[in-house]
Amino acid sequence: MTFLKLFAYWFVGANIVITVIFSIICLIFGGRDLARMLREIDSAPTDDSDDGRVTTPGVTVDEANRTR
Amino acid sequence: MNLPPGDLALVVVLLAALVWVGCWARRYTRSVAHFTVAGRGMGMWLGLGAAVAESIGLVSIANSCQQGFRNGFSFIWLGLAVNLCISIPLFGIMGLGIKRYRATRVQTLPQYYEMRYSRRVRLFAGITLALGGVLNMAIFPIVESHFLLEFLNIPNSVVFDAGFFQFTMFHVVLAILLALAVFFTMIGGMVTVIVTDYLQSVLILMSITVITFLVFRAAGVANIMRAVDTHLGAAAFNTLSRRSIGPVFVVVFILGSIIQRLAFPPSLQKMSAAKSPEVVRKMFLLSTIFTQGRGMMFVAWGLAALALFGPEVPAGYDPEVYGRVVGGRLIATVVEGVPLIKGLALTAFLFASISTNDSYLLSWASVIANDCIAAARRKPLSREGHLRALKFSSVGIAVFIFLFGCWYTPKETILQFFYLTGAIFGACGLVTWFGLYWRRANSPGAWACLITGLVLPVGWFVFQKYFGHVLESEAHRGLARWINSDYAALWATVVPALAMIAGALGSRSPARFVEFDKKSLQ
Repeated sequence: MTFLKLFAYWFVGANIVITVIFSIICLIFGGRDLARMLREIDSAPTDDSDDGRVTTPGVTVDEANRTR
Repeated sequence: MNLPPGDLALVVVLLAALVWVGCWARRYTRSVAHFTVAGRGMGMWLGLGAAVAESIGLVSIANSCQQGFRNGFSFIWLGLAVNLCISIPLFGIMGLGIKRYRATRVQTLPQYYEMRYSRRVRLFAGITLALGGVLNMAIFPIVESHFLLEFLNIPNSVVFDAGFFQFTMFHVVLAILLALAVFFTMIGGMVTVIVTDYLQSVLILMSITVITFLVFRAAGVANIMRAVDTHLGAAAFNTLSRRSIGPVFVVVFILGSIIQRLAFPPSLQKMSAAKSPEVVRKMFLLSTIFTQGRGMMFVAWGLAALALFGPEVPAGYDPEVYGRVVGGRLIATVVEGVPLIKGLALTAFLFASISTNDSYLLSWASVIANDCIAAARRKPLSREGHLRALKFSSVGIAVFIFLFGCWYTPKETILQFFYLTGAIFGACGLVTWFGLYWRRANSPGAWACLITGLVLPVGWFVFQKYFGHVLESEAHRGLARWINSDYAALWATVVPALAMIAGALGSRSPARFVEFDKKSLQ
């Protein structure tokens, strides 16, 4: 029980430090990823067929064997 | 309302900046795939940032405070153990299930069901998910509104009396929170959600760190430890000392943490927006490691509330509502008199609410538009028509939640409400797992699994409501050992899985499967 108590309080303390470090890393590298994502969206052609319809359904075992 | 002008100005400026960024980001939404999954271009760190904001909802802050206030650390160990022993090795290191799901390139979960099973399975799952999901989400802004009223010390007075119904300050705050979430969802879908969530995560993390420091300063670590010992005792630390947690519950919890990983559309939609299956795995690994600690911080707030206010419910509070708002009361107390911190905290709470609600709204709106409306039509929707369906669905969900908020009176804890409503779509996880890993899984099996997965938990809730008192009587004490919530949850997991196997093996319906080679999983 003493171990659990000590661990619980130290765990909270350690995680406050981890959260700060994590948020700084996320801020820096997340910004880089964001710029990259927006650039890619900007340069890629718009694909209207990608709208949630199933255009490539799964195949049955027979169909898979036929195409091999 | 107790908010100094400087703090109010800070809230207005930061909120206005977020609205401006949201409006700016909308230019990048040009198609349905941009609206629902941001063109599948989200990198790992951006995804982590956005996931942070989504996972720290104001509702989860209120929930963790409530759990800490009532149960201490006890309920956390199970989650921590499952994360270390199961989630990190299975999902974070091996990428089990989550990599295959992303490799299918679907936008929503039911879309995968059409690919793997049939269009009718997609429609049925879409309706079930939308029903359970919207109800599941409905409690978010309701809890958040109570929390904010408490934090700002605003009395829940009547604003407008319509004769048949009295609109109070609670309804005003509820409407504002819903309007903000709908705004960010509607203007640009997932692109706006990711951009604004990323920015919000920075402010939220910064604020909760400052608040945690202030909480510890105000309550005192020694006082907190003493209060926990006095009011909760050993039960605050030892999970197994709680009567409600037994071996069956542990098994259900472990099975649930694996199965539900592939059942919850809001987190699956973020996976779909990731750049590749490998990015999904890395995101999962890092977020599991880092999110555990943040949850602990909110639990510590609940413990500090216990130290400062004691366990008694003050006069004029409903006991259940008090548990939900005790965190708001605590923070209002500790930030009092510190310049601009109350404004910073309010902004962080608003951002926490927006970032979670807009992600969830988008996800459930995508299920309604893609899997209930578009999938039911023979003729495909035009791009404009589809985007309109997505936007109207988000508005419809928000209106429903507002009406639900007018009617709903809390009787159960936040966690109980989540379990209750989440059970409606719990079997979807099984259907996904079987679909991804068992070649013989087919449409009849999926039907059997979905229907038993819906009927069993709903049947149990009805049984409990009308016949629960019978099991509580002394004469049936022995029976209650075998017929209880833990066993009901276990059967609601095992029977649908068996139904899937029996349905698939017992029918001659051909099974369609999706091949995954090594390259597609990278």
